[in-house]
Amino acid sequence: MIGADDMQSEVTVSVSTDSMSRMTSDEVLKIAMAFEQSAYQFYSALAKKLEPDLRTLVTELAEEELEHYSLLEQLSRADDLMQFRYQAIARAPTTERFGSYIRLPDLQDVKGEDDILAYAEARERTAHEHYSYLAELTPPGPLRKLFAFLRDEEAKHLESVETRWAKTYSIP
Amino acid sequence: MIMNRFETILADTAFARRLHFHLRYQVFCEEAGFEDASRFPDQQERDEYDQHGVHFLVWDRLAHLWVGAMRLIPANEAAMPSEAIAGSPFVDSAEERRRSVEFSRLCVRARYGRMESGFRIGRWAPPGVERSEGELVFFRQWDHEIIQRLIYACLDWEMANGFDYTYFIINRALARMLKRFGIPLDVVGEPLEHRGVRIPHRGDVRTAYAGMRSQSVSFAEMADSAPAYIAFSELELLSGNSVSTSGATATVRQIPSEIVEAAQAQSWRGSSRTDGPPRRLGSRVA
Repeated sequence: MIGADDMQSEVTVSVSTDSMSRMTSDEVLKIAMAFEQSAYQFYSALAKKLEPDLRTLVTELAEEELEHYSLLEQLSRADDLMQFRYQAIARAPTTERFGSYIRLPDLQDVKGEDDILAYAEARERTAHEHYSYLAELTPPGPLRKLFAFLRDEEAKHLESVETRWAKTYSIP
Repeated sequence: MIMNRFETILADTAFARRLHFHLRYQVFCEEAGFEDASRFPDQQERDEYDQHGVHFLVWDRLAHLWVGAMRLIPANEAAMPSEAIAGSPFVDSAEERRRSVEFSRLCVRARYGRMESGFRIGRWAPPGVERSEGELVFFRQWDHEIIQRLIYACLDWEMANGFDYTYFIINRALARMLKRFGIPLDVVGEPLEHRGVRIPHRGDVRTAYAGMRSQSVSFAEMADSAPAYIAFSELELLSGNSVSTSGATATVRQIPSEIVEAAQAQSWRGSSRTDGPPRRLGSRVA
């Protein structure tokens, strides 16, 4: 099991803005891991800053992101994918937007649970869109299956955030 | 053309209340898991307090879906449900009880969580015209619109019917949001466990309305642009009579045919007359 200690202290992946370039699956996975890592770091930093009754939500979100990171880390080392690591694949049009989430947002902007959930929802929605493109653009084979799997995972994460919003702002 | 995306409906017919209870079932049983779905085999989430309640729904003109709901329980007609949960009354005097209402069963469909001000483009068609053949319209929406609309309906209904205080048991997140909207809140009881930790609060109706108008730009624009709600009975939805061809009423009448068909199949239609407590049409509050 990969834990927070296995992460780099800083996320250093750069995302090319050249829309015509192709990428390798290895690059795609590195960006995806940096995406999850930055979310974990953001929520963890936020948990320290917020008043106690807001911490539960961001701590739960941080733990979920750590699980996502762990999953990606395991997938990146899977034997049946290793041989495709340097296969060039079409660049998804969402790559730059997806990569922009690696930059951490300003913690000052967070005022309540709805700000946190809006940020989480935007992240998961972008990730879902990104993997959907990759699953469509990649030729049939193990890589396409990987991206389809990640797309479906992000759909679940998005649904989880949406449900959390509905539960938080309801009066049963 | 620009039109408001959402419309609040007073569920004042048996059919409209069935829609309201079904939406609650979808949110509280299926999405949030707050209630056990097996307790409601007819997919109508309701309790003994609903017979005294006033029920509201929010309609999405763009998606043609019911997306939000809440109910009001006048305290002078029955013990408020939250008092039963807490095991003690929140209101001491009989006089104040006569002027108090509980706001509860607030729900918003999961995909409608955070709503931001802006415009969405979509097709709108008058009755009798296929939506795909309708004209392109900008649907206007505001921040947290569904919740703000339901609060607007609550305040308007209370002021029109002589109520001064709103009671609710809410979690800290919702209390924070309501305060940001400009609603001053008093804590009236100890925290209690009810689908999470919730705290009994009370708000003064007129102070809340003034606070929201001054603090929430979205609320002020919303209140200036449309009535707080429209009564379902006024739409004469199932009678087939054309009530109005004006934009607002006509679009609300476009309930998806599958809902009407499902209603008829399950004998949801019920009486088209207004029953329950006396209610009035929503009006813009001066």
